[in-house]
Amino acid sequence: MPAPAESKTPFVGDPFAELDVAPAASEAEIKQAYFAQVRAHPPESDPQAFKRIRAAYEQLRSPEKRLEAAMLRVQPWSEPPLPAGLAAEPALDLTVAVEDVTRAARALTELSRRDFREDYRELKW
Amino acid sequence: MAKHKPIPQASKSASSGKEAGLKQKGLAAFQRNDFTDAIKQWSRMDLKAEPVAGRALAEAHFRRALGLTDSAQRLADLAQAAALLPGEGRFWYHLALTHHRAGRLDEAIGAYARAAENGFARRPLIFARALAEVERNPRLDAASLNTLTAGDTAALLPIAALLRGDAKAVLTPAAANWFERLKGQMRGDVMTVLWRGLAFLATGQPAEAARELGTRTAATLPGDAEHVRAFYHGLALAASGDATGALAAWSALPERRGSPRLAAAVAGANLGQVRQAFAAGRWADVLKVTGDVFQLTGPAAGQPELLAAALIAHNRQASEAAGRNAWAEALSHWQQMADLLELLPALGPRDPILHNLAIAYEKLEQWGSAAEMWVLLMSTLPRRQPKTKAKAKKAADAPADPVAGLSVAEKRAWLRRRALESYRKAGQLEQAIAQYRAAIKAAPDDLDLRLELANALLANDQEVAGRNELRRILERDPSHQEARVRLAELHQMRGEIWEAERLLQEVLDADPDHEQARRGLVEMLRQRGHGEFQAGYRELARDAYATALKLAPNDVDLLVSFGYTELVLGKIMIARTYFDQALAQGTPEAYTAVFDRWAWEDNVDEARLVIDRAAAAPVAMPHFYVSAAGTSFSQAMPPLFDPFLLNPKQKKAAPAPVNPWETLGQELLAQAQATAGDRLDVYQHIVGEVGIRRPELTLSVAVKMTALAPDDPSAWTALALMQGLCDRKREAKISLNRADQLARKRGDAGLIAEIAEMRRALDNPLIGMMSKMLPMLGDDFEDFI
Repeated sequence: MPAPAESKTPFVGDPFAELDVAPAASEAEIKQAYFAQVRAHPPESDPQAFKRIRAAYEQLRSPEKRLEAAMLRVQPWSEPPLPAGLAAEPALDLTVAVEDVTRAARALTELSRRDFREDYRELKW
Repeated sequence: MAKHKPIPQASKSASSGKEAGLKQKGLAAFQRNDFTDAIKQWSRMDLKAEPVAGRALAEAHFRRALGLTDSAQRLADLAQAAALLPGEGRFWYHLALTHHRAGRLDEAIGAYARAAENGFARRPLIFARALAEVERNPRLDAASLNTLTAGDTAALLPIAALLRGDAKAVLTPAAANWFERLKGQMRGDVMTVLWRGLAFLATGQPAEAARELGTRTAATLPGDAEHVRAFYHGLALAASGDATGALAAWSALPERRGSPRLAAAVAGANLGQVRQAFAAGRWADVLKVTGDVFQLTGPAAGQPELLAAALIAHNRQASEAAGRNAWAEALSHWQQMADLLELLPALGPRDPILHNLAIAYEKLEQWGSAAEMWVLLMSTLPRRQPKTKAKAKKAADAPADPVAGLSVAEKRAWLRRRALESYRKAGQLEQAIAQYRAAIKAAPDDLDLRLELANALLANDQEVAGRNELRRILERDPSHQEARVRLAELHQMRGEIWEAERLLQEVLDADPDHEQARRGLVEMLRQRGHGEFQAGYRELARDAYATALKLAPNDVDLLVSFGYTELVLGKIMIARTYFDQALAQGTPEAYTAVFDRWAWEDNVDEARLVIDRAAAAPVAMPHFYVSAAGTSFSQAMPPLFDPFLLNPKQKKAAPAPVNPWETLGQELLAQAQATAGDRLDVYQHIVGEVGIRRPELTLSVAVKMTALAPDDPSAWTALALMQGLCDRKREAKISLNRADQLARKRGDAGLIAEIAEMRRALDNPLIGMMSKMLPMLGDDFEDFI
């Protein structure tokens, strides 16, 4: 029993999205979705869409093809909820920290100096 | 009172010899800057008898202390040096510095005092001591410290004011006098800039602070003070709305990483820009700003808002790029996402990104990288060998990918195949095998690794080595069902079906829910059943189907095949029962298959009952009617090699209308057309299914196809085929010309070649003659020619 003529247009994109089915959908669900899409985009009035739908369906017809399509599908990444901080007005902490004043002041002394070889004394034995 | 015994002369001599030895050894160590050894030698000397040794020991402690970074150890050495030589002011000075750095201000002030008392007169001591006093008590009147010069006092006043939170005091006219006195000393000009800038910021005048802190001066600030200036200059610029200037100021900071204050300031300064870009969906701008920020402070120090915004922007950009097949661009975004998520796993799952990276590498034909990515993805799956069998099963059955609905085992198997395929394409299977072998050497009990090795060996056509590896796995763990399944596949590939079935049965005996083994065994039994049936061994076929049905009781093909075998064996009641079970599955395929079986047995009444049941069920769709019509017309055909058919003068005559299959075929074809509406796919099906046997019935359908899709070359080739089969060669050529034009317009090379082939066939008288046999050959026509 020959199947309906297969589309010669290779499908580029996500066949699951084209048929609006979940990647875990059963064969019956895929077929149902395919027919629904064909009804929504009849070939006589929307031949390009019909071709896309048909090509997508071809990619999902057998379990092997379906697995391949599912695994080679760009995986969605669940985006984190946008932190509240991005919605709020940015706040800058303008405090002049005591530690920073101290750090700068100490730079005027020898507290940051590392080389004190001038303080060595010769041994006289 | 006990008297000390006089030291014998010989002993005294020995003792002095020992002392001399310690002295010399210590000196040698001291000369080579090994102060620890010097301390060790000289500590064993009699320091009272040899006071010079005490001085030497103190110097060794001092020098060792100055080379130490650990504050406690340094302090201990300096304390020891000061204890040995309390009158040495420099020891006290360094003790004071060490205390001061550690914030022990009381101890520092005390030690500074001892240093001064013991004649250490270096000028920085006075200022450092005064600074310690001010740090301890910023309200102290610096002028009261009578050891200070006027310049020192002027330098301390703004520091004290800022430390006590009185920034306004630094901006008063009185303070102008301080700074006037500072001119020309203690880097006065540049320190003035710093203290005034900080005071402006602390008093809420960021624009003035930015201007002041950005003032160019002849002198430069000492290291730490410059760091403070640059940080607050950036902060003042950011607070004045100049985020770009702030980033430039901060990028001059020598120590940027690991500072939470800087990270927060950088993030805060840029949050507004990021927010605006994010809200407008300007993802590239979001990434530009966040990229600058992360470059400055490192992504780990970034604020969660910026990290989340960057990840979302990368994700959107990557999806958009992938959508237009710009895989290199998508790859770049996913790589950056993977890097961020590796650093900060709490921000989201990394596996989908690795998956997408593998896809992108494949698209870019970077097979080696793709293979590595698939392997990396495999390593993120739950490991096999949990401690208990129940846990093992739970882990294997657990959906690894809720999106694709796959189990862990299914996903692992797919990834494995893909990785090996990528390694093969990269020409790196040998390297992969070498890597697996090295890894196994390090972890010989890692059976997952051994399984990967076995698969790599098999993919590299090293069948014997692969099989041996699988057997080694089973020797180590007889319950390793994945290895057993793989071994079964190997036997199946070699045609050793019985051995393959035995192994899969063993798997199922151990784990009745092992889905992969169940499916594999069902397929093997199905194939065996079909083979036995074709060979005429109906009972053996029935047994194979029956065994398979135990594993897959609702499998339509098995139900129908079993039922049909029983039918052929004359057990019509049993056949009917199984056909009913197949129909109960409610699929169009089941109705078509059962219809076909009754047709093959020439039982038109039962076939009609199937049609009636299909019409009552919601499966009676046009495609079902088309398939059934095709079968009916096939049944209606006279036997093959009817000698009259080869008589070219005899026109192809339709079979007598009294033939019940012809009648049924006509009815079904009419039903299909009535329910088809304007669906091109149904018309395509009619032409393909019925046209090859009864082109005169489908010629009008093919014409309708070209009306529905006038720009579709395949519609025109279908029409040409029907016209050719109806001996309307001239019209067929016109249709082929039209198809050819459309195919060329599309650049469809395959179809152009197909059309050329059809043209040749039209002109070939032999093909023309054979086409008259089409009704009998049906689906086998192409194979026949």
